Amino acid sequence: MVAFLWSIDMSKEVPYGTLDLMVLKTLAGMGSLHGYGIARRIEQAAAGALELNQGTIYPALLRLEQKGWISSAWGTSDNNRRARFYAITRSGRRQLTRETALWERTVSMVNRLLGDAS
Amino acid sequence: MTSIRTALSRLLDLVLSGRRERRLEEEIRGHLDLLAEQYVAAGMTPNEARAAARRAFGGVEQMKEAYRDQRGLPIADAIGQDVRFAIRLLGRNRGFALTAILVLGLGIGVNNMLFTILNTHTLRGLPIPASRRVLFLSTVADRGPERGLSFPDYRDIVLAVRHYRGIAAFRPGPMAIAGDGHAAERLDGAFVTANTFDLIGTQPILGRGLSTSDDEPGAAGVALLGRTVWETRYGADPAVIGRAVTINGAAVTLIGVMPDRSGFPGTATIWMPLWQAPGLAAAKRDARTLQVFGRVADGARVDDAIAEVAGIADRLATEHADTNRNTRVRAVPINSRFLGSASDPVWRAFMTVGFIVVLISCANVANLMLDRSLLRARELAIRASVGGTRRRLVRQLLVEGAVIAASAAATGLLFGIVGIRAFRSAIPGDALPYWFDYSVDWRVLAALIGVSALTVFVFALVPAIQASRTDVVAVLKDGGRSNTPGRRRILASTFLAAQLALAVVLLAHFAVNLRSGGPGLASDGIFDDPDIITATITLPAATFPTPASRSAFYDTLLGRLRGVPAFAGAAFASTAPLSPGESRTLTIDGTPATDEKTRQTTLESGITAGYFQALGLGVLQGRDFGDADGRPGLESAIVNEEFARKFLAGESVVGRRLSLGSPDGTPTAAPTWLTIVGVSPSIRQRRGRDPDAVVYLPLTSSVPGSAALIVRSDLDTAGAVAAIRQLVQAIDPGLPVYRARTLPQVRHDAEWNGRVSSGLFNFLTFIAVALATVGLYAAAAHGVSRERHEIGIRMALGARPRQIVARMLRRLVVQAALGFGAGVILTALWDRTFSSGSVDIRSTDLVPLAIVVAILLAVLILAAIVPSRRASRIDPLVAIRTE
Repeated sequence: MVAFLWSIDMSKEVPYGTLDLMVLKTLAGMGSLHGYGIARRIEQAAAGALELNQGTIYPALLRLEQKGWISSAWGTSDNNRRARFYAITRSGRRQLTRETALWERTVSMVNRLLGDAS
Repeated sequence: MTSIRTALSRLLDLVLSGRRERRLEEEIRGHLDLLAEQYVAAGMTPNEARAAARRAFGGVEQMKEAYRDQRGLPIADAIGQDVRFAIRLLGRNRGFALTAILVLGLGIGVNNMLFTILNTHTLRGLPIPASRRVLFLSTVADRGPERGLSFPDYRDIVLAVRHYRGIAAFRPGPMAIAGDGHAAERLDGAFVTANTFDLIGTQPILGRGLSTSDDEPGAAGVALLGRTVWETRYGADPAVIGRAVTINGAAVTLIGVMPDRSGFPGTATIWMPLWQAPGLAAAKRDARTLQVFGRVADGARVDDAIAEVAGIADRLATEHADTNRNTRVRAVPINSRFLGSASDPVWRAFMTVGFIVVLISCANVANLMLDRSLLRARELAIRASVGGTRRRLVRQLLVEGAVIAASAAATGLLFGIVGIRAFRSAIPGDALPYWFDYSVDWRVLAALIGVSALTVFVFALVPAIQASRTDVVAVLKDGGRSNTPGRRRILASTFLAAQLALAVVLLAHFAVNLRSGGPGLASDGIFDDPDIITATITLPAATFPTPASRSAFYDTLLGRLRGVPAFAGAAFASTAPLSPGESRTLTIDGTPATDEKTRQTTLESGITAGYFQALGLGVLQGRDFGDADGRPGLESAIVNEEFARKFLAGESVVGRRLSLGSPDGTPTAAPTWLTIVGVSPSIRQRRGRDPDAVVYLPLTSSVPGSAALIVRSDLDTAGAVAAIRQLVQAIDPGLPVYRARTLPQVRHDAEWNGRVSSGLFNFLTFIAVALATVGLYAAAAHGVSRERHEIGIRMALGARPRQIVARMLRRLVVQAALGFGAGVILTALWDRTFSSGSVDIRSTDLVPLAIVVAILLAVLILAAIVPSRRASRIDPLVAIRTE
């Protein structure tokens, strides 16, 4: 009742969307990065397959930080700008492993399913 | 784990929200700059680059909103916002808000007051530490009443048990304190074992408590005072410790002062060791006069302790078959022995009334909300059209309801406390044991919060959902005017009918309450006669050890009283009118022998000659007792009219013989036959009951140590009591005369229970019906004036005022019929549910129901006629234009 009226979206709490996975993967590979860098990196990796509103990574970053999977600190970027740098934490790495495995299982299952159907 | 962490982090954000906001601003600015640089590097002009960067970034404000949603506690944020909005809105509609809060607060307050009473009498338990581990022991036989334990049984049980920390025994009794330079005073006292206060966790506030060496044969007499006695009699003088006084004529040293509220098991204010109780050492195994309770030892199970006592008693029943055959000792939790059970039908009926009152006030407020949501239809429609979801609208209305309910809960708590005060002050101060403490505790608060929360769903949810269904286009098109769609009218009618139904249930009982006074008795007049005075005199065993000495005292006193010209009659009785006295088994010579199942019982009372004459009654048949009655060879009895009607209907009564069993129910081997010499009028021995069959015996046949004096006097009450006291203390200066009252006062005191409970019920009914009546009138009147527009059109088209009124009446009559029908069914249901049990709360009686229906119908008709007449008198043009 309360949850319904105040629209607590339970699915937000449940692991996460692909964006979170991509952010974690990026940070795991590149070390510490600021928001712009993460967005660039994801776009490059997607090689045009993804239309990313770069702004959307900030709520995702906050979400991941709240869960303790990444940490953040102010730092200075290559061109001497003050920027907030994000880095993956140990529990973030564990989560990435878990989620990667889950992702692969899901994908292979869906693939099998689709393969059967065709 | 993660979710706790998330919540914590969000909570932190809520506190630090300003800092987070700035950080986000900075991050976004940096991000946009970097993006723009990237585009400049790709060959755009700075302006183009900035625009492109914004496009690539996406909507900044939407992102911030999403960020804020993720940050902080969205629910707390949203609720806070809703609550603030609701409070602003209610502040703007003070009339509505105050009415709703008061009406709901009254309902909640009444409910809470009833729950406080219920809590005190059933749920809270005695004010003893860990009272659930204290057991009360009593003797039960296959037949006959529950009794205490005899001293020998008590001692055998104490010696044998292993599961108890201790078992205490006490014997309440009056104690006359004198010999200390103050006037003799009679106090409620108790003889107690030394461990009594230890087991109920009470310490003396001055001096010392009882030690085991005080409670031994031959120990010096000692006594503990209650704090109130210490303060009133000795001015709270600490030097009272060690002072020598006499109690019931025996020399005693005061050793300590106990706090108030240690009067366990009732009203005792002075205590002496059990061994000082007269006749204890010689007490026989079948003299079951001790009240016994024990505390279960730490580590032992309560069930084991109960079983252990039962086992020991079984052994005693075989070892002492002559006295203990067919008897068992039962241990029950002391709370259930001294308090009621919440599942008792009386209490369930009680709380049902409480909920009916809350429901009526809820229905009232629901109608108010419904009306208001009509007025707000335009606002709600606009909000819906600019994107407010239905869920949001319901939510806003529910929060408004919750704000009202919370204010009503606070109001209700106040009402409840005031109500309890009034209730408490209606009860004579010493009528209730000290443990009935009607204060607010956590249970009462929990009930208050629970009921208040529940009301939100009753009064706010339906109107809220209803309001959210508004057809936006229709409302906006016609200016929110004619939105009285059928469904909403049906809802309003439902609330109205529900109020009617609930009011009928309560009113039906109110009327019954007023009608049932019980049949009158010819002797009831004595309770209106202020010339008849009763007082109690107790003769201490120390100074009046034998029946002959007590008898001599009564005779001497009666002789002197009769010598006073102002006294028209004087007599003693072992039990005064409106005191039940002893119940005895009965055998009547010449009627079939009775067995265990068909055994008859009667009350028994000892009286001196002149008792009926002093009451102004006289005997109906035969003769009164003379001086010789009760002596060997003249074993006589007088029976009352009720006895004759019940046991000897249609037969001659005077001259018949009867015999009574021993007071504790065991049959006597050789019956003593008593000859009936007279028939007396029936006099009520118990409050609010039909008269009991009573056998009167000459007082000399078993001279009691305490007796009620009955005097008929021409003097005013105080003068008569002073004269009596003077005569008594001329014989023995240590004898207090107490409980001196006129018979009307006796009745007044005896009836407090019935008076308070029927007063309470009538008060509840009054509140409920007042709420319902006001609500009915308001709802009906409002419903009519809401249709002024339509009435205007009808009038413009040629309808006459009479037709308008008739139309409104017809609709109300349908609602009323529905409400009354439901009410009658509910009343019948109530009777089916609560008719069992000790108190009669039934009422399928057509006359009171008819009266009820008539009252409510009158209200309804008034509510329909007045506003619709007014409406029909206005100018149709004005009515149509009025929005």
